[in-house]
Amino acid sequence: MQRIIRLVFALCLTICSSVPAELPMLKVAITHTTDNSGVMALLNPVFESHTGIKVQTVTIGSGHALRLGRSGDVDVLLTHAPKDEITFIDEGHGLSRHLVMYNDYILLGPKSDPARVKQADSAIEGLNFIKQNQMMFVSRGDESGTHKKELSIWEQINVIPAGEWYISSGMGMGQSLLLANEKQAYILSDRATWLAFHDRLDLELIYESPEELRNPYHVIAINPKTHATAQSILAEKYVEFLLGSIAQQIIDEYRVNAEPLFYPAKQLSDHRQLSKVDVREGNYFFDAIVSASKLMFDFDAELYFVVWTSLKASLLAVLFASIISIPLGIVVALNRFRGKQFLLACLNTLMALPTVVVGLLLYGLLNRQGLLGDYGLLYTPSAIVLGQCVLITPVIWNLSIVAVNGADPRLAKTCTTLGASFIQRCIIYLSEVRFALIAAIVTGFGRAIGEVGIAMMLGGNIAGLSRTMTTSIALETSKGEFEFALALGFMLLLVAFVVNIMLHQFQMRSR
Amino acid sequence: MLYQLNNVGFSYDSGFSLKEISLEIHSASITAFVGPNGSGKTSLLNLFAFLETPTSGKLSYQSELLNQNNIAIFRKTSAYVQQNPYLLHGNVLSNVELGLKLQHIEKIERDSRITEVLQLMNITSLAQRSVNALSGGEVQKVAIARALVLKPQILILDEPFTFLDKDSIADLEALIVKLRDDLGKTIIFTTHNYRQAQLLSESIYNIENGRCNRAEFVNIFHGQVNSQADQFDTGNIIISVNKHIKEKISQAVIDPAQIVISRDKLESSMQNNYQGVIKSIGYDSGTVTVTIDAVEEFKVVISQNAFLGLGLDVGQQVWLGFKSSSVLLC
Repeated sequence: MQRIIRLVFALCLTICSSVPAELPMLKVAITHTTDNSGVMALLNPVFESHTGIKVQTVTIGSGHALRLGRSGDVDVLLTHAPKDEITFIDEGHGLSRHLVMYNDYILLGPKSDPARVKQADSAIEGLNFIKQNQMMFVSRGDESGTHKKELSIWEQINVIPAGEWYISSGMGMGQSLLLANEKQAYILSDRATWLAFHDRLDLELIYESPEELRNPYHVIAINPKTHATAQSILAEKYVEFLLGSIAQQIIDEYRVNAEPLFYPAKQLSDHRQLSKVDVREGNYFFDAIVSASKLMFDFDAELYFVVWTSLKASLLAVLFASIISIPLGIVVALNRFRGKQFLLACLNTLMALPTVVVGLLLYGLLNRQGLLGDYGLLYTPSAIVLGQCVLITPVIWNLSIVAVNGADPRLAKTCTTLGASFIQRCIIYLSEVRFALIAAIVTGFGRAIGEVGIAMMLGGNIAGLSRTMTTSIALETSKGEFEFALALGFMLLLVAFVVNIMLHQFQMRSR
Repeated sequence: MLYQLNNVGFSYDSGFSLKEISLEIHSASITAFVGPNGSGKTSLLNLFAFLETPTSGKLSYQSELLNQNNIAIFRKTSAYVQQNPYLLHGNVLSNVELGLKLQHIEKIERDSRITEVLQLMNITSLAQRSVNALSGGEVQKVAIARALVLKPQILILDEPFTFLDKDSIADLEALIVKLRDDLGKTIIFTTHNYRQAQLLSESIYNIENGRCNRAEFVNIFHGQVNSQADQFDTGNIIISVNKHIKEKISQAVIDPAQIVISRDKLESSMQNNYQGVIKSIGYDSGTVTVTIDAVEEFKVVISQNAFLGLGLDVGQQVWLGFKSSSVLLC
């Protein structure tokens, strides 16, 4: 038996592993912008063919990449958050930091440029105009390199950006650009993503200054003295390759739509070497749970606002979905009609409807060019309610049918012999199978409050407006803020627990 | 004539069917259908309650042929109480009131009818009790009250005695007779118990494999009990019976399977022993029915083996005996 288990385990490992075991492997954390640009897909195969070292890339934001570096989960980082990178090196996590390439950030905005940023002499002045005129500005808000650059500009004019005009999206660059487009807001973007998205956007390049808004990408090899598992020899080879003439030439010649995306680091130099070692030690789970508990019991305003937004959206979605689907469920269950089996098969299929598909369909309807674009629902809590309603209507509908079918078989005859009309029969069933219907509603609620795709795509993850528990968990995890993410995870479980306790109490009292 | 069935057939998708049923039911009468599970009793009751229409033959109600246009109107004249009835959640009052509410009857009228029916069923004290706290007998009573409050002409009861204790059975038997005698209701019920059917009904039908035949009444004697209430006098013979508390006893029924035949007088604990002459012998599948003239006429059902062992023949003198507990009084 043990031999069989070992054999199956080995087989699973073989299937799961896409990399042959004999090849040395290097784990590299890269950012979304470099990955999206396609340049890494050119560089890595060249490195692999030259050295025989396999590269496995992990695509995340700069903040998260640095977190992975701190925990020793990767061997090399390619990030664009200069200030944090320096801190990272100073803490002793990185062996060395070298500039590989750079491009620039650009300021985008509506074509009418209501804040007159085009007249600004610098990016600082431009953002100041936006702030003074209280014009909408979309921030990534995810501690990415772009977000950090934006914050550094606000810092220079001593402004803490907040208010109705300032939208913190918590999403990637592409999604944030779509949000800025919907809101006709200003946004700081990297040039590569702008080039990839500009066809789809009704925005304009308002301000550019390659010198002032430089976006440098640095490579950092992880320090093997701090993290024993780090593949420092392989990492050094990778660093050497990126700084070498072959890689630099690839970067120099790389074009998208005939536009250069990156400039090689040849003419610039910003290297930093390890100076001191100060390693933070601790237990991840314990620390995270303690911090999460603290946030919860300190009644952290941000945490509870996110919880409230989630609850509000999901409860409304459940309310509307229940009003639609419970009567439909009872009517379908109590009737025989042509196509009923087909309808049931469809409902069963829709039970497994992926949230992203609902998000995509409704995005097509709600965006500015969509059929319902005029209502301005996209990136509002109402859009989340609508999306979740669409998601859970088939769930509650189907479970209502199951509830009615599961009623005592004597009930049908009782209704007939008492002379109940069809409507009266429906009402009697509604009352008699109420517990099963409540269970259907609770299941729908669970699906709504736990989904992330719709809330992210239609709500936009805007801080203080449409940020829900699940989108917040996704965002905080991507930023490496595991404590907050875990606190939200606990809250999510708590909400589910409270709802179930309430259902149980209701059942006990009704009996 | 209330119901008239001519060659009525009814079949389900599953294949089971009622076949060629012809019978008549008069108003203000009690009719029993006796048969094993799966024989078709409930299907037949569905036809009487107008929940289904025959798939062949003709069913007339008050001389009017049943069709899709009048079935809903006919249905309102009958009330059906299922075997092991279903009560909706809530209390007794809400269940009894439900049918009236469904028919949009005014509150004053509802209250008056409910008070009346609760008194009739002797369940006024249960009005506010939750249905979950009722015994099997009480559930049956509430279900009948829920049916009767609609003032139907016909009360249809499917196996009403199945889940009842001894006292509840006696109460329900008395109620069935009362509903016919005092309120002129027509009652149709099904049962497994042949003696019970004989005691209560004017007509009994045996139903088996979807076929229905009129059954004859056997060992049913008319008379009265003495002052000590331990003997029943038919006018021709005295039958020892168990002491009882019922009033107005006028009938005694003895199950033919509980009577013992012997060639000589039996020395046993059986209180009733009579000598008689065999009048006729009837053979059925596995059993033999022996008719004995012992001043009153008795039918006795014995196995074929017992019959052969006794070597019985027509004209022979025999003794028959039965216990007082085998006598059912009504």
